[in-house]
Order: sequence, then C-alpha cells, then structure tokens
Amino acid sequence: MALDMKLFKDVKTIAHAGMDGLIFYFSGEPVQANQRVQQYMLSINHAKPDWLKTLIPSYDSLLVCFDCFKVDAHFVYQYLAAHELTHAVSIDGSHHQIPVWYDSPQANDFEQIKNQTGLDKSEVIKLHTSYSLQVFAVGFAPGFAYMGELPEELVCPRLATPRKKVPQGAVAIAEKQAAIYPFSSPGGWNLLGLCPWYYELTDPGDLPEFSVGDSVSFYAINEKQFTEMANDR
Amino acid sequence: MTDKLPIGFVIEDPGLCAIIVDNGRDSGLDRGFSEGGPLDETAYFWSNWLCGNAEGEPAIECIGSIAFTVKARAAIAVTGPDVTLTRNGNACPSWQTLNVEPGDKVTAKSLSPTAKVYLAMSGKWLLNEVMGSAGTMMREGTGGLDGKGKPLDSGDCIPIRIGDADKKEVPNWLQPDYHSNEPLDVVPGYQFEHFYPLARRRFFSADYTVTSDINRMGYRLNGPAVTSDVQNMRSEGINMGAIQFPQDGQPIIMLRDRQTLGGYPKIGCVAPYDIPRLVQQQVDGVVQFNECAASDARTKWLLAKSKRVRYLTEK
Repeated sequence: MALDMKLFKDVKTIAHAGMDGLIFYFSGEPVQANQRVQQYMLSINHAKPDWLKTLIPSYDSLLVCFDCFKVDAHFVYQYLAAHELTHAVSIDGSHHQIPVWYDSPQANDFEQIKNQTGLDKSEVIKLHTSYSLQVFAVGFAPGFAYMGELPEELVCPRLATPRKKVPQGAVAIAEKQAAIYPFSSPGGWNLLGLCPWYYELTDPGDLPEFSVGDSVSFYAINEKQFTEMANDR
Repeated sequence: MTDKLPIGFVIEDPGLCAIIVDNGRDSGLDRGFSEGGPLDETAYFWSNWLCGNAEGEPAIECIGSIAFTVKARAAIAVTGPDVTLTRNGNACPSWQTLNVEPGDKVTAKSLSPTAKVYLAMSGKWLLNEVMGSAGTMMREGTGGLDGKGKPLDSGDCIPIRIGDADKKEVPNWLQPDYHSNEPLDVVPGYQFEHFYPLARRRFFSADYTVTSDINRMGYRLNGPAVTSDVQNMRSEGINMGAIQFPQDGQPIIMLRDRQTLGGYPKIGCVAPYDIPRLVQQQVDGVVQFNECAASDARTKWLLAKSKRVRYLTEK
C-alpha cells in the first residue's frame, strides 16, 4: 500500500509491511535497483540505529523492521529519506558453474513448463544453460540464492498451489528467476533437475556459498556424472 | 555431553510435537535464516515470568499435551488456552507458579488438541545457540536439544541450572482472550492496492476456516478466493503475520518459521497482538479480519504493552 509519504531519490514505492515494518522498492533496471538495495542495507547496517530490528534485502526491495516501542513508520520513513549513503557497492563477485542433472525423475516439471512457454525440454535446457545470471538475493531458506534474470522466453509463473515438498538440490525457475533448493522444503517453483552439490547435505554450515553480486551459469550432466559428483563431495 | 549437565526434567511423552523455543533471531534473516520464536508470544512470555526467568529464556512449546518427570526441586509454569495440569495425578492450576520435587510426574493437556502449550522451568537452560537462538528449527535442521532441529522425544533430558522463583499467577485480564470472536486486526500493506476492490471487501467481511495445513511456517485458511492483478512479482522480505495469496486465492498467514523472502502477493499483516488468538485456533475454527491502519495498530499494541509493563513494575 503506497503511503502518503513523498518518494525520495531512487525509491519508486513505499508500503507498510505490518505494524512494525516498511518496505522500500527501488527504481532502475534489475542490476541497478539491486545495487541500490545493497547500498542502503550496508549504509543503514553501518549506522545501526537503535530502533532497527532487521533488514531483509531482496531483488529491488528492502524490508526494514523496527521496534514499535521506540519509533513509528513515519519516523523510519524520515530516517531513510534523510539518510546519506555511506557505502558504495563493488560488483566483483565470483563466478559459479553449476552442474544440473536435467533427467532426474524427482525434479521434472518440463511438461508444465511446455504448457506455459511452448518450449520443449531440450529448448528449456538450452536456454537455461546459455545465459550467465547474477545472484540478486539470498533468502527464503538458508543458502537459497535468487538468480536472474532469465530470458523472456523461459518465463513461467509459480505453481498455483505450492508443493508441500521439493527435493533437496532441486534446480528451479519461476518468473525471471532461477534457484536451487538447498534443503527439502515446501515451494512453488517449476523444477528442472537436481544439483549434486546438495546431495544428502545436512549441515547448513556446509552449504555452497552464494553472495549477492556473484554470477552463475548452469551446465548439463548425466546420471553417472551426478552420482560421481555427489559421492566426491 | 548432557550426562554431566544438571537435569531439570525428562520428557515422558512429547505429545504431537514438542520443541524448544526462545525469542528467536533478529540476525541472519538477510542470509535466509528463519526468525523462529514462540507462536503464542504472550503465553510464552508469562510462562517464563512465572518461573522468575529472564525474558527470552528457552521454554517448551508443545501441541495439545505433554508429560514429563521432574528431576530437580524447582518451579514450573504451564500456559496456553484451557490447559489442565496434573502433578502425581492431582489437578493443579495453569498460568501459576507450581513448585515441584524430584520424581514428580507432571502432565499438561489442553482441551484443544492443536493448542500451543508452553512449559517453563526456573533457571538457566543449558543449550547451544545457532545464529543467536537455541530454538528448534525443524525446517532448517538447526537448534534445539540435539542442535539438529529434531523435536523432543520420550527420554530426552532438559539440562537446566535451577534458579529460584516466587509464587505468582497471571491475572485473567492479562491472558489472551482465546475465546473472543473479534475479527483479527490486519495492517494493510505490501500489494494491498493491487487486490481488486471487491476481493478486498470480501476478505475483510467473509469467514475463513482454519485448515489442517497449519504449522510454524504458516497457517492456510479456506474461504472466498481473493485475487489481485499482480503478475511476475519479484520475491521480497516477508514480515511476521503477512497474509499471502497464491494463485488459488486462499490465504496463507506467515508465522515464526516462515521463509524470509517470497513472491506471492500480500494484502497486509495480522497485527502482532492478534497472533496468539490466530495460532490458538482449532482446525475448522473460523476467523474474520478487520482492516486496521498501522498507526491504530501501534496504539493498541503500545496500550497492551504498557498494561503488561505497569503490572510487572507495580508487582
């Protein structure tokens, strides 16, 4: 819900996010908007105002949760509007090449994807493996990295009803985003295959580390390679 | 390792599911770690207060019932909706401090099989923290007694360095009114304006039924479908109590173990002071929603908070 608050600088919308939260949406192309999110997050984290509970950054938005005992939404708005950015974001992340077993029977939504996009399996795999994507956010679950942007042809919506259980290591797409489910969990994305890095991984401390700003690309492996890579870890 | 630690009590029967909760986390959420914490913050808070514990000391959150054997001379307290308590077969009141002796067999049971019941014991709970919380995070496989997010099992020993507690009780007017049929306050926000006006009106006037698909991540409700014009939404931060609508138009209310980011449109968030009434609803229970401006919600919340603080400081 847009507030009766004037927009400032690179902010395109502000909305309440509960009694004790405000969410700021930044303008610009995806990469630029995401950099602005990072800038504000680093800068506010650095200033550490005493009313701040948590900051949750994402693609183009920053959720700011505050202590209602100390301040209200208007105060937080004023604070951000007047905030001088102190941090520049350097984009020099590392590159990850991610193996995917696209023929896995446990993660196979190709028929559904065909209904949505008209692309058959080989075309989907070709598109999925031929672009370099950027990590825009890490969240949803520990180690869950949101990667984007996928090409327009590959865009398909989330499931109408989320699945109760997505297998561990499932490589998935939804809208313009790609991701890997680090652990088995409920989820509403379309599944393409399995990544061997996550096979029987139990400790969140052992998760492959993706950071915002990193780049990624996917490549196809077969069942034999999947088993070898899963055992090699 | 727990062999050498002082034991407070031993679980005999964990009921449907018993876990350890504390105040949850306020860091790590930007890396995808869940907030955690008690579903019914009010009942949890008072259970610790009754035991003379610091705010945020771990306690047990169980569903419906629990049975355990006391291993130390200590004070315990059980809170939640309509809970009856027995010590060695004799009925004892809930929402009060109860002194117990080693060997005492205690059971707690709510009239509602899905009620969240809280059990605290006086003293320092000797548990390891993961990302600032000792709570059991089943979804992440972290925290809790075993450190791997496993719920409590029969025979589990809870290590506690026992402390003192005065005998106290929580007056009725400070307990949540679990039987109230008042609509739950919702602060409109997020994609509120993208929901069709008719859908909004429907949401704020219709009855919604609590389904059996309810857990610490979220509660799924069932009722008239609510739709919006949102398409291709980017995932964004989800606050406690956020009400999201997948394409089927049925609301899911996001709770303590919710994912940090999500991409379904949200109409707003249930106000924190009404969360206890929501989470204590039985399956097939009916709820309604009331639109409440953020500033009004904050005023109500501050009033309730100051009522609590005044009682605590005058006590």
